[in-house]
Amino acid sequence: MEADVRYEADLDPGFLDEIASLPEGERIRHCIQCGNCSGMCPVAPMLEHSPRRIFAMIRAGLKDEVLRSLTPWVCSSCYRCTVKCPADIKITDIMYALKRRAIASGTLPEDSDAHRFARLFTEGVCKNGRTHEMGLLMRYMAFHHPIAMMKQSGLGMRMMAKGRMPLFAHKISDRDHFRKMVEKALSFDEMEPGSSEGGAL
Amino acid sequence: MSNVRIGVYVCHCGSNIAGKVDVKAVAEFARGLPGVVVARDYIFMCSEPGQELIQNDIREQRLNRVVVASCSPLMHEGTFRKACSRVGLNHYLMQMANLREQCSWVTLDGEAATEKAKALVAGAVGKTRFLQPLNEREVSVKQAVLVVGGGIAGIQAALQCADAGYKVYLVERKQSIGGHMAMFDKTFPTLDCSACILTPKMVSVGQHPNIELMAYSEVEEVGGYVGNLRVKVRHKAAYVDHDKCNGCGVCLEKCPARVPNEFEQGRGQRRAIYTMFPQAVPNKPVIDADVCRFFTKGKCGVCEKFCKNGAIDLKQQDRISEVEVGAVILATGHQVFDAEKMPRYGYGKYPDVYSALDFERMVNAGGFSGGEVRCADGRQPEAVGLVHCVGSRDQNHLRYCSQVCCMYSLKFAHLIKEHTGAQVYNFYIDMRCVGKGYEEFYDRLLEEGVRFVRGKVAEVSMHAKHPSEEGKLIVQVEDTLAGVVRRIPLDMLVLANGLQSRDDADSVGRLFGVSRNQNGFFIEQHPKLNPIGTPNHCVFIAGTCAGPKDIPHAVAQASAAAAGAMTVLRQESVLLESIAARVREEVCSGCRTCLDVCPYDAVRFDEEAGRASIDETMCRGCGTCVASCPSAAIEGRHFTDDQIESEIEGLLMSFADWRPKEKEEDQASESASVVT
Amino acid sequence: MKALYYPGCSQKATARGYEESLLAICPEIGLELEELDDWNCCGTTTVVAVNKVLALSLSARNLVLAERRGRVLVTPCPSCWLSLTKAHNLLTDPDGGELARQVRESLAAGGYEYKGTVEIRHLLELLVDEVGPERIQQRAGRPLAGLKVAPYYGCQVVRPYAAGGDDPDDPQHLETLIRATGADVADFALRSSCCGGILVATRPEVCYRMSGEILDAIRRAEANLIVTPCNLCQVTLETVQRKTRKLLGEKMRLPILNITQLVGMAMGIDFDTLGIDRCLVPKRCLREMDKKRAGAQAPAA
Ligand code: SF4
Ligand code: SF4
Repeated sequence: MEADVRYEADLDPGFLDEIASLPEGERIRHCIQCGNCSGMCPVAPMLEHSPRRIFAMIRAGLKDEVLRSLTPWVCSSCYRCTVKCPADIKITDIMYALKRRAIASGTLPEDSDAHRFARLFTEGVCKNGRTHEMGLLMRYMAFHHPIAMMKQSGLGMRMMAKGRMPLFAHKISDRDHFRKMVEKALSFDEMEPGSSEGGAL
Repeated sequence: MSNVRIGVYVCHCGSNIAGKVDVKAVAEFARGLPGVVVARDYIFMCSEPGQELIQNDIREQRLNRVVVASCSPLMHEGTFRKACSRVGLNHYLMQMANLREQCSWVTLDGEAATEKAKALVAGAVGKTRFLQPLNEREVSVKQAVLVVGGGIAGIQAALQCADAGYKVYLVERKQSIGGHMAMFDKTFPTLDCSACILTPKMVSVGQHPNIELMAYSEVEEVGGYVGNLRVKVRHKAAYVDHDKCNGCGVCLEKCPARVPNEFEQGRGQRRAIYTMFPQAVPNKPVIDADVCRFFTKGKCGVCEKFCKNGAIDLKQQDRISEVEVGAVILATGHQVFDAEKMPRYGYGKYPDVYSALDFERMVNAGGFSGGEVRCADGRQPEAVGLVHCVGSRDQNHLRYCSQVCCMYSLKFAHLIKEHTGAQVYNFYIDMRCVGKGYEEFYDRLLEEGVRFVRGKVAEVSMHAKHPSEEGKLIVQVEDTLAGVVRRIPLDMLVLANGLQSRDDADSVGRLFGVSRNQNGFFIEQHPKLNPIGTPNHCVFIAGTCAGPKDIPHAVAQASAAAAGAMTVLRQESVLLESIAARVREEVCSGCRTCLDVCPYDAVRFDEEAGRASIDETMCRGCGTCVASCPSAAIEGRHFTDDQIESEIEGLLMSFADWRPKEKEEDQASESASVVT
Repeated sequence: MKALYYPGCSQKATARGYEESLLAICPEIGLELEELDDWNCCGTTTVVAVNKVLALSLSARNLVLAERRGRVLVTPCPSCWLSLTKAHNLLTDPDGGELARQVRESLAAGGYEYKGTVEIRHLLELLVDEVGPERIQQRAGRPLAGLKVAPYYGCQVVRPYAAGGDDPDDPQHLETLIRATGADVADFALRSSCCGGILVATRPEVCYRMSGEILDAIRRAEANLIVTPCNLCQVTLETVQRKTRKLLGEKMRLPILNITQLVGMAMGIDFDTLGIDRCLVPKRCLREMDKKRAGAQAPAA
């Protein structure tokens, strides 16, 4: 967080409306900043910005900081916040929306490549129709965490020995129709046009 | 005093007393006091079985004096008095010792508390030995109510009493009743129009056969005693004969002298002859002699010329009338905090910084701008800020929460959006939306897209630090929830002034014998169980004179106060305390000292005999004359010299061989040194 | 009972034992499963971070395939169950709006249409509500008396929707099944805390801390084994358990089973058939667990 005073002109007061216009963001304005989400969140203690604070920042128009925040990427999708939010806000789903926005606008946290994992995962599914855990991990780890991959190789080997890591990807058969569906889906983009990293895969 | 038989009853008050005071030891101690024939302790003396304990002893042990050592007499003196008189013991022979408020609750050390309790009991026993039976006197109650203040609380109280058939005098200082509520545009959280719900009530007041409305008048003096108050009211000279005036309003148009209109917060103008607003009740004008040309320049009289009814009476004088009432309801209201005391908010400096009342009048269709929300230069604002807690929750100004500002700021936010579509920022410390439908209203405003920034506005300036700030009012505030300091440029700023007690609350309180808390608001008899009563049994308080509150609460309190006042009247007679002073004529030297000191005007002087005497109906037993009489000729009944001396003896006796315990550190170091 | 079966990707890989055990117990409990032909990945919580319409369309395609074959669709994977449910809810919501329209259009591009008739069930609720604990008890030839089992739910089978109307604050489905197998329930506080499994690749340190706390709670509850209805939780806890010496200062080697494996064990089906041998803990730990059963300790006297 920058220590500097923030000028309203540098903020994006429309950010709240932007999120509020999404189906999952429908109730975001009703946040009463109670902090229940942050208290519930298992990863909040490890985060710079708790979920509650993310909502305060959205409200303040700190769009850049929010999109660069690790919070959505470290959110574990556990839905604890969502089920207990007194304002009935779909917090977890908003975290997904923030991730999409971050990817689409290329405004990404510096010390995370979780977005790359998400893209690799999605690419794999679009291609084969199924997820190939081994292939995905290999690609992600080899590119981004080669050292960690070596450390984890014992686990991988053991998984393979137990028959839990098939070497080859399984592909669905009706790939033709599947691809048409995927292409159509990818043509819909809730982000503003002209976004950098977004769009078709 | 050989025939004195005293029973002492030490109450545990659950653990309130027994948790600190060794009640058994106190009872044991009491058994040894002169005149005491029985001493007991019990968990709740005020309970049925507790009272029966006392009554049985009175019967079986032939007690003729009782000491109850429990809580404050304010709580239970009545209970124990009744318990005694039910079995035939004159209730002036019952004495209380306060072991709770004056002992267990205020003493940390248990041992010291027990010693103090013993002293208090010994004092009470000492006094009791000399108590004499007294008889109360019954007096009738005047069947009328005085309501002071014609805001919504006063209006409500007056109508309620009048509808129930009681005669009501409603005194209002200003030209019209209506109070602050008459200035408001809408009311939260329902957003119904303030005037639309208020004016019907004002009209009812004006027309009610049981209400005598005394507008443009002030209470000058209050005399008399419980149920029989004599109140002098000053009717300020209006220079208009209201019996002749039919309220046609011609004079209001013709008068050439103009001054800033207070009702419009000085932003519009009124004439020297005026009614406060078109729906004023009474709808008869008054002349402001300070600005009227006839009075300031010695010539004019335009109104006189134009008035077809010959109602203008420029020779009119203030008039004093006197009314007799059985009960009083104080509904004198509040004043708003003056934001100029917080220069950092720029009120009075920047034209686009408005107070809450300024804004009420601005947004009101009948107000100075015809309901247009516009900046001073006529622009429609695009960004408006609302600063909560102006003056409130601040040790430098008002230490308390003014209770209504969060809600009226939300109301403003809604109105601003509705009138201008501007971006609205609410700067708040906490949102306090406690009331029916209030939280829901807050939620609605969140939905409407009003911005909320949690943080007390640090400062407002027009000192631009960024090109986007040029020509704007800039609010600097920490957004405590997002964790950043923000600078927000605005076109208009509305301050949520806190509510405070009126500058003259002190003198009003004195007039009616009502005291004020540290914040200047009138103190209720009991904060929970009697929030409308005062120690003066026929004086009630309602509305914001008793503390900040919103309209529904003011109305509810006013209705309760009306019920309280009517209860006094309905009883038709009251018992007067027999605790009064008495002049022993044979000793009186006729020096007249007592005449001057009596605050209740109860001393009479017989010129022929050259002796003073006391009107017992007026005397409240305060004892001032007793202490002041150089010849010691006056005796305070129930507080006679021998009673008080005996009480002091008792108090001191128990301390005769008691020394305060050494501090614990001292003891510890002592014992440590013994070891080494 | 007949049902369509949506395995989800990991049942064919890291969670093979889950599928094997499920298929092994089916005949015993009268469940006839037909694997959905040509199913695709549900998109899980990952695709939605890239494109929401795609994520929902992926799930919806499976619903379309299911609708062509039958009515009840069961899946053992909580994440798949949630993804499929979300797609179903959107497409059957009269106020689905723009998003529903986009998903429908995407489906149509592939020649698919979803009418909304599929009933999506998670395996756990099916076991409790349709099969029922009584039936499992009847079939339990080798009941698990003597074992203390920690019921670990994970997240998505109880949140944001609780499968089968279980109480999200105090779920009982697993406990019901554990008791039906004759085992004891090890009560511990973090039954539905998150294991952090989806972070295992991207934020391993966060995942380790989350799973480490859960394992610690289970250790304190003195359980002999852990059972879960979630394939991702199973593999995550197994992975993190290998690090317990570092994380908790003490090595833990508890068998971590899927619920179907526990039920199969009680029925006396061998470990190999149930895929229990695929667990990452050393075989000896599995044998030790097996020996703790009351029946095993005291053979017919
Ligand atoms: S729990 Fe809901 S209302 Fe409370 S801070 Fe979080 S999002 Fe806002
Ligand atoms: S869903 Fe995400 S933000 Fe919500 S509690 Fe779980 S980890 Fe935290």
